[in-house]
Amino acid sequence: MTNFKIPKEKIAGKVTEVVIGATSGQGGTRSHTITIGGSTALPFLLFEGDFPRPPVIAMEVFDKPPAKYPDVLLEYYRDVIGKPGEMAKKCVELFGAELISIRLEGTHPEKGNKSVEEAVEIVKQVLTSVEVPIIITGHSFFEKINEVMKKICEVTAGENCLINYVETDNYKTIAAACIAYKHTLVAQTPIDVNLAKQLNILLTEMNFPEDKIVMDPLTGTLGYGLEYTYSIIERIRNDGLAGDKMLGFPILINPGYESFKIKETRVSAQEYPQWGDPELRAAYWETATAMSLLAAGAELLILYHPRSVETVKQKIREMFASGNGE
Amino acid sequence: MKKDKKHICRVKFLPFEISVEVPAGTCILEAVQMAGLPLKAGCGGKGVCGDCVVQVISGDFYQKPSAALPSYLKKQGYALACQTPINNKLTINLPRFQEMSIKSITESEYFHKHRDDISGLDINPASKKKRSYGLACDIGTSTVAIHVVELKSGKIVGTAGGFNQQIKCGEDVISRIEYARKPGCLLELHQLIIKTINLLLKKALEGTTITASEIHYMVVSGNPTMIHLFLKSDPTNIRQEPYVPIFKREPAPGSQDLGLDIHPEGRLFYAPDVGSYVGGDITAGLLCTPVLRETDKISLFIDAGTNGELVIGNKDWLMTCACSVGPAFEGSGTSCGMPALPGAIEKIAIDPENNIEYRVIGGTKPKGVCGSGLVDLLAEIFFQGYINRQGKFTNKIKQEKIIELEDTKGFLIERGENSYWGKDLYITENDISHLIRSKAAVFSACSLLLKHVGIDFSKIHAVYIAGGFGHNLNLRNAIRIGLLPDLDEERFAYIGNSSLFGAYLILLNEANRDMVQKLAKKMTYIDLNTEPGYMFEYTGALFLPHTDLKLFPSVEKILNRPL
Amino acid sequence: MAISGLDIFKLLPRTNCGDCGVPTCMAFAMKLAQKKAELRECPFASEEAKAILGAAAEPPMQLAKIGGKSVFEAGNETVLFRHEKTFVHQTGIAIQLCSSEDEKELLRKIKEIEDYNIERVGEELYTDLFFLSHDTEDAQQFLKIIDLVKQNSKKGIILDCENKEVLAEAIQLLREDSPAVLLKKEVTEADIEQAKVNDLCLIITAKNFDDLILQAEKAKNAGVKNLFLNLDCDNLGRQLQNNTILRRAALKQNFKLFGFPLFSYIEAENKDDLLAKASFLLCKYCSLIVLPEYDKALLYSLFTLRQNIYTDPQKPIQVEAKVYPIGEPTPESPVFVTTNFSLTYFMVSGEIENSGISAHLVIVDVEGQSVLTAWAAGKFTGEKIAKFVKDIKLEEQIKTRKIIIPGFVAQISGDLEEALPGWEVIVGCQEASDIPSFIKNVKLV
Repeated sequence: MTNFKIPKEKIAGKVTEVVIGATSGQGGTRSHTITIGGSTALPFLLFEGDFPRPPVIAMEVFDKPPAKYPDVLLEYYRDVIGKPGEMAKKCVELFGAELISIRLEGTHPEKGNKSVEEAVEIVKQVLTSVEVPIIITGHSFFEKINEVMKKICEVTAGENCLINYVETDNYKTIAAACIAYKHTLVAQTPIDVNLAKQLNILLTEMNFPEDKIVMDPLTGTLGYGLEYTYSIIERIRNDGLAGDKMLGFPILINPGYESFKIKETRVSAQEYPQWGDPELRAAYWETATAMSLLAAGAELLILYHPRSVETVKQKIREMFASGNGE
Repeated sequence: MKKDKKHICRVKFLPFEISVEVPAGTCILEAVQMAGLPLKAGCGGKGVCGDCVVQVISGDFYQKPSAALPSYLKKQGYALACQTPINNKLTINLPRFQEMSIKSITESEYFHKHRDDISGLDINPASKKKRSYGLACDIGTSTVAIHVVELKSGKIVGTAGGFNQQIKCGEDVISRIEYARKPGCLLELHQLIIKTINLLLKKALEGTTITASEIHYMVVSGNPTMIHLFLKSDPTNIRQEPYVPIFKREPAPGSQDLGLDIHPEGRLFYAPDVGSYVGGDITAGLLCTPVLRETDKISLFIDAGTNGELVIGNKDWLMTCACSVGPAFEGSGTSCGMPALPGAIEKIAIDPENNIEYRVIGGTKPKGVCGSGLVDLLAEIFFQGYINRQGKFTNKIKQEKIIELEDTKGFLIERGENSYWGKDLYITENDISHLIRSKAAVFSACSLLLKHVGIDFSKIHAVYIAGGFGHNLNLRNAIRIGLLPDLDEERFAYIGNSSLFGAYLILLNEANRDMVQKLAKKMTYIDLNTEPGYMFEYTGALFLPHTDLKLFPSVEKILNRPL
Repeated sequence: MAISGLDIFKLLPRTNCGDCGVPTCMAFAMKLAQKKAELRECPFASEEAKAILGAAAEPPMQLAKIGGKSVFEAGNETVLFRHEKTFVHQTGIAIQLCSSEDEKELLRKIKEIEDYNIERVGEELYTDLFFLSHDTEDAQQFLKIIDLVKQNSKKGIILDCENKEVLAEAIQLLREDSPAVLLKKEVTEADIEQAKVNDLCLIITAKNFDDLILQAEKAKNAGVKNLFLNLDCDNLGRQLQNNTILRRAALKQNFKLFGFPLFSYIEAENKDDLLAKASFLLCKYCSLIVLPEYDKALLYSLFTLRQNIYTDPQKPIQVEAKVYPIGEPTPESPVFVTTNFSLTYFMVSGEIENSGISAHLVIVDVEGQSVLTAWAAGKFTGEKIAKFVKDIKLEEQIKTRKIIIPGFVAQISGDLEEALPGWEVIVGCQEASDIPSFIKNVKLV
């Protein structure tokens, strides 16, 4: 027998636990809530920390189908792409989504300029179609999104939605609405540890509850800045676990939205034969993005391709069952 | 305004001594622009903002009535340049560039405190003439300062300071280097600085019986760009890698070759430079920092001008770097900023009842706020809770203290009726953001330099500060806003113009001349732009006092806010 | 483990003699600290300095090599997280071929893999090795694959064969090629001897840490240091934990017996599973992975991931400076200009493409910096852009005389127009994501 002692890091901090959704007993209409965070060591290192729960996967539906929605995804969603309620149902029942994000990009003045009322309608539709906790995803046209989010926060009061997102140049209005109607909030910053910390400080300084903040350091997808996101998440996770409370919040990433904007998940095999089969390529690209960022420390992933969802969920389950022995 | 080409008038602008000839009817603002001189004109010449105030020293003029200029000033000969046509020969003083009165360094607090540790008070044995004088000259990017020194005794017999006339060719080092590339412009820039120095020399000797030709020895210190232009040497070398210090390449020419008014065979020495942006002003400045040079305790020297230069080290080693601070603390780029001249608020305090108290240089009504005043202001409004850690206004500011401007808001420092030019003095969120960026540049350069060497702030024994803040810098406030590291106040010393001081010391003693060359040789220059982690340090410093509050424990204690 | 520049300085002569090629001892100390210089460059270094710095300079993890006409190297890693400094060697990717496979199919695969070479941001991406498994009774079949690989590929070989005689023959065939051998059972003296005689790389397989220690010790004490460690594991999470423990032990506890690169044969239920596991392990400390199957999409994704994770965080990736056609541009198409930072290039070209127009994208060399950084450093100026436009003779190829610059550097528009007479400068938007909207609303030509 040797004297090898397994090198364990001391526990000095933790990732806060954030609850999304609310059941009828809590003022909402969800069948259950989803909690993320709570770990006290680096991702999946079960031998040296507490991991109360695994990361979760969300899928996304749209108020307006994205202009360049790729064919590989239409294969799965053609029948429901224009019907967010039904698409949400399909994502939950068929593909295993644990949360649903409703992306309201159609309310952007240059991408459809849908009204606040239309946005509310869609959110209500999705709320009645599925019982999983809901994420409301906006955009960066400040004036409009503030109006939209304010109304949605009001209309969905009690549901504890995850309002996605605020940024340093535009946070007060939406954060105030979240406080008033008791929703959870995503703080988004452009791939920088200090900027992420600063936004969290600004939020907590306006008395935003610390257990209702989720961080989004902006996802660069594979081949388009992934390594920046990867390292920022590792740094945030390391600092948070070392005791920096302003970096100890769970992290949300968007492999779905980011991966399906780029060439690699959309071009045909004829155009780029060396890139392989388009269907596989699309799924693999998103999966590789998701897996690497899971390794870095993401807790809430919004994915688009059903194959990636299935694969990533499986791997998460496997890693959570790995125990902490040798 | 109608112009009469047949009637030409001559206008002279002080303190630049630049004249132009313009057709009668041309307004002063246009003449200033023709002379290539800067003058703010916020409203674009409509006579409403009051920015373009000038003082007519001689000559008759008539200005159109305007509410933007208080009548008591009109009586003193002030006029709005955009509302005043030229119909006669005029001599006009541009107030922003009024003559500086600089303190003799031997009158400074620092000199008195450190007189004994600073070597070099022996007399220069080289001078054989009965009356022999030396000229110490600090060539700054914005201002030039000189001392005329009686070499036998070390006594300062003449002092003058003024704006570097090269300003009209570019406000900062980079723009001047770019300007020098155009044909004939290197010569132009060279002649402008020589002219500036000669003029200052004349002023310094006014009222004495000393003539310029009795000056046999001149020591010059300045950043590499200034020295290149002084020596008529092509400054584009500075932007090339690797930069070979000019000190290694070019010996000092004779004073005659440069066109200086001192004795034609007068000796010239310029303090050696170290890197592209760390020059003789810094090596000379180190002569003032005995602890840094002579003990094994590690100390820090910060010269925070538009370009900030830092030196860290002890008697065994020295590391230096430069950073771009920007002009905010030197008085430009902010709504109320001005250089440390008479009329500048140099100290501000806000009491618990939210009354603002301030002190003005020269005791007059305030014209603006200089660097040290801006440091105070930022610290005070931060601590009163008027701005958050990002520098944005909070709800705590009382309504009467907010000024609504066209596209932004300002915090009122003083009402127009109590200010010199009759204009409200205020600071905007944009101004605050400029100040925060400037202070972040200084602090992040410090923290990066320390990280590079591998030590933390607790190991720093002394911090010497030089720069254009003014005669005072409230160190506690500088720490509070995160401009300077959080160390005990006794560890800090504010030197003032260390470049001039160093030139003076070199003038007095050959040993100092050898020492400054040894110091230059010992210094290792690092380029912050290529340092990994630079952006991280900089973005971290963009919060008040810093994103990482643990770096400022004394501030953390006083901040009564949730963290 | 790393000594600071200051502490190194204290060990140097401190005369600033300059013989090492750097003007001051402090500068030399800094270079030593960053591993950009070696102590022997100082002719006056003391014995004490040599001893202390020599010990510190020894890498906590060994280097492993697998031969072939193109040598594959792994190991010498110094950090747990890429942001601490950088990873040193990117994960090697090996494709498995089995002796039971049909010969024609094997040949096809070998050629396909040998030719599969993708370029991305100026770098050639390809697989590194073949993992040859003997899974039949017929020795000849195994020797046949080896022969096929040798004839048709320059890639190195890992031998996976439990039959010692067949293995010995295989090694003979590859006696000039320094292959690797996967040991599935405990390493023996015979294995070690064979490794030494034939200059083999050994991959040691163990069931647990203690087992691994014993085997590594055996090999190391016998003078064999060209090793990979393979801790048997079927659970991805367990493997992550093991890998982390092994690397931590080597790097933070100076546990020399674990100071070797890690190997993993990735068992998977299907290719999605394979890609997921491979992605994860590539990020987390595996220096060499074997894929039992492959397809182009899988390889391309893994190559890209590997390229991303293993770039030096301190050296931005650059793309070639030239005019890139977006879509099918004509001489009258709009002209955009930006810097050669790869991320900038990808984002801007992507957004222009997304907007559906064709355009010319002029990429200027600023040593890979982003727009604002390059501008602040004086590399992305009106003059520099104009010079590049002239150098590539853009005016001869394109009739358009309007050029769109990134919104963040609006201030160079005056200088650029001066330096490019006849051209009009259009100031674009600041964020790449606003490009489609900008294109829709602004007149570009």
